[in-house]
Amino acid sequence: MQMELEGNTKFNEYEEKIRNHQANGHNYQQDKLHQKKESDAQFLIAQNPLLMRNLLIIIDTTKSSKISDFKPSRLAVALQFLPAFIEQFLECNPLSQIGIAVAEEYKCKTILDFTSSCVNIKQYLSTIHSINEAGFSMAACLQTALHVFSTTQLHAQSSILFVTTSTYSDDKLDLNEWSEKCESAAIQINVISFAGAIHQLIKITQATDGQYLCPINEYQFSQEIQKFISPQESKNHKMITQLVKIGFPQKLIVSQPTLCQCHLEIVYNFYKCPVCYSKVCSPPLLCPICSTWIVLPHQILRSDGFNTLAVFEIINDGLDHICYGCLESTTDIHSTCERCKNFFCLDCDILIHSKFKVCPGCA
Amino acid sequence: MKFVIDDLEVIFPYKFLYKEQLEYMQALKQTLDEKGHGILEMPTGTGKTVSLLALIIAYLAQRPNSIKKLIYCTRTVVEMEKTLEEVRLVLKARKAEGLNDNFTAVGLSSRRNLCINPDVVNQKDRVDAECRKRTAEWVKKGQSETCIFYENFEKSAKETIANLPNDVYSLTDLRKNGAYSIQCPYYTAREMVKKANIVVYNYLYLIDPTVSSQLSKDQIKESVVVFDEAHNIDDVCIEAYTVRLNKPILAEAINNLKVVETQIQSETNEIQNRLNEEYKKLINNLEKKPEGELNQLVIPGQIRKARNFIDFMKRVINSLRKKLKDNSEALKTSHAILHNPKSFTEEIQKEGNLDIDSLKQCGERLNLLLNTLQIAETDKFRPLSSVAQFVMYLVQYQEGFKVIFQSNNYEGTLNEKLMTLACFDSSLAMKNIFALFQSVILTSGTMSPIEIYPKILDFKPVVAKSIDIELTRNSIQPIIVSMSEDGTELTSEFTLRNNEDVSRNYGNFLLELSENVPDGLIVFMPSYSRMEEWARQWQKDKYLEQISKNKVLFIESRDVNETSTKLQQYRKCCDVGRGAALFSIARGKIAEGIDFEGHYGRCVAVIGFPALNSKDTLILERCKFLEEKFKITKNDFIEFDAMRQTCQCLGRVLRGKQDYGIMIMADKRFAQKSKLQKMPRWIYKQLDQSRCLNITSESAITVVRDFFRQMAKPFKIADNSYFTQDTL
Repeated sequence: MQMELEGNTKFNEYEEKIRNHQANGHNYQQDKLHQKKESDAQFLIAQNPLLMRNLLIIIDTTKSSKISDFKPSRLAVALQFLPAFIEQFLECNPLSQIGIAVAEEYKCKTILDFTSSCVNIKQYLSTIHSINEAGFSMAACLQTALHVFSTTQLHAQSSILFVTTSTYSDDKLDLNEWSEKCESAAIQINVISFAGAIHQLIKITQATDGQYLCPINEYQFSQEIQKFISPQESKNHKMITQLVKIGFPQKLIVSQPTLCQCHLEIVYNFYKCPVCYSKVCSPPLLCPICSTWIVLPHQILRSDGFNTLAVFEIINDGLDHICYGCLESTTDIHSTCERCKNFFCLDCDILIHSKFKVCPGCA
Repeated sequence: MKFVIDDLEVIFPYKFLYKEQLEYMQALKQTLDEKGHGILEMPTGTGKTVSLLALIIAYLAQRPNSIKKLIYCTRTVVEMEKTLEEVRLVLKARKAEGLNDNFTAVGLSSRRNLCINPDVVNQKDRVDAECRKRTAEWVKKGQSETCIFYENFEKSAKETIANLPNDVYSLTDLRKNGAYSIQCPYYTAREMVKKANIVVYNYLYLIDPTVSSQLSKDQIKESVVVFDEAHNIDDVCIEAYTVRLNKPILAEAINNLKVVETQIQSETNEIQNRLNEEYKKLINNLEKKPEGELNQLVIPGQIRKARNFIDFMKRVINSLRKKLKDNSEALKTSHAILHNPKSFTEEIQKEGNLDIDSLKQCGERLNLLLNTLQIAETDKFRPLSSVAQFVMYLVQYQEGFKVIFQSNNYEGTLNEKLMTLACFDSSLAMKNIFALFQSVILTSGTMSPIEIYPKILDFKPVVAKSIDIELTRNSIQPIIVSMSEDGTELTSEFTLRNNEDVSRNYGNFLLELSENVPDGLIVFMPSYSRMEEWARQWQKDKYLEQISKNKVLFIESRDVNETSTKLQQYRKCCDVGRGAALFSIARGKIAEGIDFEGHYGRCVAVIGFPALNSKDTLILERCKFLEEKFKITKNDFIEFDAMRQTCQCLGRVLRGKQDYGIMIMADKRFAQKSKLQKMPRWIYKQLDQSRCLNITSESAITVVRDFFRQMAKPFKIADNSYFTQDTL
């Protein structure tokens, strides 16, 4: 009986929502327009010719990560949603790389160097576990991060994402000194915290143009972490233009196991560097032998949306058109691609700009 | 911004005006209009001082006939400086609006804070005496060291003060000006107070009878007196009239008398001349016979001659000594002995053959004699003057006083017997002030229940109002914890003080808190002895060790200097993101007057109910007196006092609209209805009855975690909670 009642109320709620939608048709469209504006803005930022991004994810595994106010525990929730985030991140930023580090008692350990192999990252993520000791130290993490970033290219935008669970930063080093070093190295520091706002950490994130987010529940965590997918504007970042040697590799699948040069792991399918023929596992990456930047052609194409896709213009002529994306008729408000002059409904518009980055009409 | 309340144009130095500030000003204006006294409660950190100043200054400027002067009383020097800065801000805003007010504002403090003579200022506790030595009337050049600053002041005081532009003179300004023109800042300030429109000084300048008598000559009836942070004003009043004597003090007083006696007996012509002159003057005063009012210079014949007076004082001290000795015997068997002032006086009179009128005037006579003998080091003669004070009050006031003999266990010396003339009537000190000034305003962040203050201070306010705070988000979260996780009660009750479970549960709760509160955590405990007890237990159970992993731990000590360095370190730890916890006392220095704004105070936990020790004779007697005179029961008063102390502690955490913090009350007694009613409205309103009242420590921690996550979100104050120039 109880169940039924609950079910009923849920159902009523939905019905009401649907009814409201029909009644406030105007608002619904306004919402969509607002969404379009947002996705366009993000698209424009992503168009920034920052082709490459290096993201270091530092996960706090100290004692407070065991607290079970997020079910089953804070760390488990983080590890549950991170793989999806990483997948999306690599998809939207094809030339980017992700590294993983864990913060332990007064120190920070990198467990995976920069790579863009999603499978690899997920595998390493599953090995992370909580420790019993307290003692998260931000300064130690920054020290490690600076060391890791020192080997990456100058033209890549580097950022750190902290997943913290502690309410303090217990530093043996001078935190200010290290955060200033990060600032001058144009490393963006972002924090997503389970514990609440720590004044000093907020100050550091602001100084490096990063964000400090604090999700209330599991769902919000999965939503808020999406904010880091598209690159954020950074005042500190100095644009360094330099010629980069690029090579397009050849893909090989073999039946005999072999070691890749980049991570020294056993692989069956790998890519061959066009310069030195060394085996690498997951482009894009810097060839460990000859330092050629090994990328796949479609990665370059996708990350440089500049030439293939522009912001669609909104047309409010009140006429019926067939959307080129979903082949449904659209009314009132729709948008058009400048180049191929095809019409799109707002839903498709948002989808194209946030995910595909290629106009189906022009292609 | 500029706006009009009724028909008064107020200029406010900020671009925004909160709703509660407007409400406060309206209530204040009503008080001034009706020329009466008022009590106003407004939450801490909402711009109380600035709204008060803006309105009163506007009033001063536009109704010069009804109000001529503002006297603002603060408790500490820091608050004084802050207030003066706010005055400066208001006056600057008025100037920017093109108004020419010609107001002078000045702060007055003790010599210790104002002296700039390098030889004197380094002497710390002896500044007063050293200064008097150099500046007293009889000090002639060459005879002893003089103070060049004071000499310059004497020469050209009137001109300089007249030439000073209308401005705000804070203590720093006064010192700077003094150093520049080589004039004594203290005396300059004292002189300026007479002329200035806005005066800021300490409570005691009005309340303490020995100090206020010096200033009272220059007071104008058409003044507004403001007591800021006035929630403890009754305690200050009582303390000002309470005199304590013990064996060493009496012995010292005898020594003082011997010094005076040798001076009198010395055969130098000069001193004899002076003594004769003094005697003649006293006779003359007698002949003039002032009309009606009590002239303090009419000295009864028995003590008119210096030699007689010395003799008289000797008899007084001897009889007091005898009394102390007699009662010490009796104290061996009982806790404390009480005497009625009336019977006690009679006993003393019989003992020493003393006359009532002489007793009444002995304080005056003593000052006169010291003046005549040109004794500058008045601090050395303090024992003697406290004896004089003791007998003076004893004779003058019969009601509301008690003579109490008890063992002194405050200062660690066992078997030290203390004779206290205790005052219980807080209206005594305030009576003069209410009569002397047109409007007296008591204001503070926590004055609930507001009805009790008019009762114990014995006056009729025209306005008594508690103003609410309007919060855009629930930025304060009061939580009342009454149980631990396993269901045992959390309480600091006297009967359970040896129960290890209780202290362990408190320790566990604090450990959890330290793990979940970011940045600053402040913990208040009922008393030093209780804190020491608990700390010992926590040390044994390793709680302290674990807490110090999460936060750097600081513990308030009795030493003021040590505490202030600890506070500095505490702030530093909060600044670097390490986080810190501060253990302090609900009635200590930190609970009052020190603000923990922003991240310095994210959570305040009051552990245990900070009730007064109801076994203490002084407090018992005070409760008895209140019950007799004002019909306030003992329980009511103790609860009231504990709750105001608690709320004062809790108020430390919220210092502005952007600020947020948690207020934890961990004792089952807080959940009782009579206590909840005594909470200020702005705290009570935020107490979520279903979620945060009477909960276990475990669920409290859940609330804490949720709260901090919610508050971390970026936030903007809602548009409808403040006014701008356009929306007004």
